[in-house]
Amino acid sequence: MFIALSHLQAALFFAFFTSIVMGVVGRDTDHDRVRYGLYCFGYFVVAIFALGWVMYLGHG
Amino acid sequence: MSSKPDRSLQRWVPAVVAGWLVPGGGHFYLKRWNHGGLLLFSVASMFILGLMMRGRMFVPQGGDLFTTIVTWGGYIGDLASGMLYFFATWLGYEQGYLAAPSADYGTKFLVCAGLLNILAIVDAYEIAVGEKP
Repeated sequence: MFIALSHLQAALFFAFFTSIVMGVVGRDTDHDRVRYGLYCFGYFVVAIFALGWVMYLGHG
Repeated sequence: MSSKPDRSLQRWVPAVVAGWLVPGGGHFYLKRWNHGGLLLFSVASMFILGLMMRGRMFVPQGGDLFTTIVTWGGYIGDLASGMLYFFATWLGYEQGYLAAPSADYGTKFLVCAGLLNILAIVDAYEIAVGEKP
């Protein structure tokens, strides 16, 4: 089975799975883990769109 | 923490080896079932998505410095997925150079799955020796 994800889809999947791992290993209590995971995911998404716009504008 | 970490080999080697072979395995060994399950889900999903996008497994190569660093680094990243990598290669998965953006993303997903597993292994080590609650 072959799937062809777009750049955005691949980046969002990456952000999702990485945020889960960062949340689990990055804090000491479950409450903090959930918060940190959501925090990481949010920042990943913001970075994806910000860098996307930077590249778009940079290419003219 | 008030107690001093115990870094004797028998404390951390089983957790680290289990964590390398099975993503989240170190946490399962330490009876952190929920955390192990989340790590297994994340690393395995990323690895499987990488395979489904026809990502390429790195093969170590010599030559110039850049090629050596990239191929050896990628190979170590692939290898860090443990049994996922061994099963995929043992079952005959291989992909040459597929000229598709998705395959390129897949290659990165395969390496990143291994890198995330390294984070999980380090976490299992810290829990096993008592550096982390």
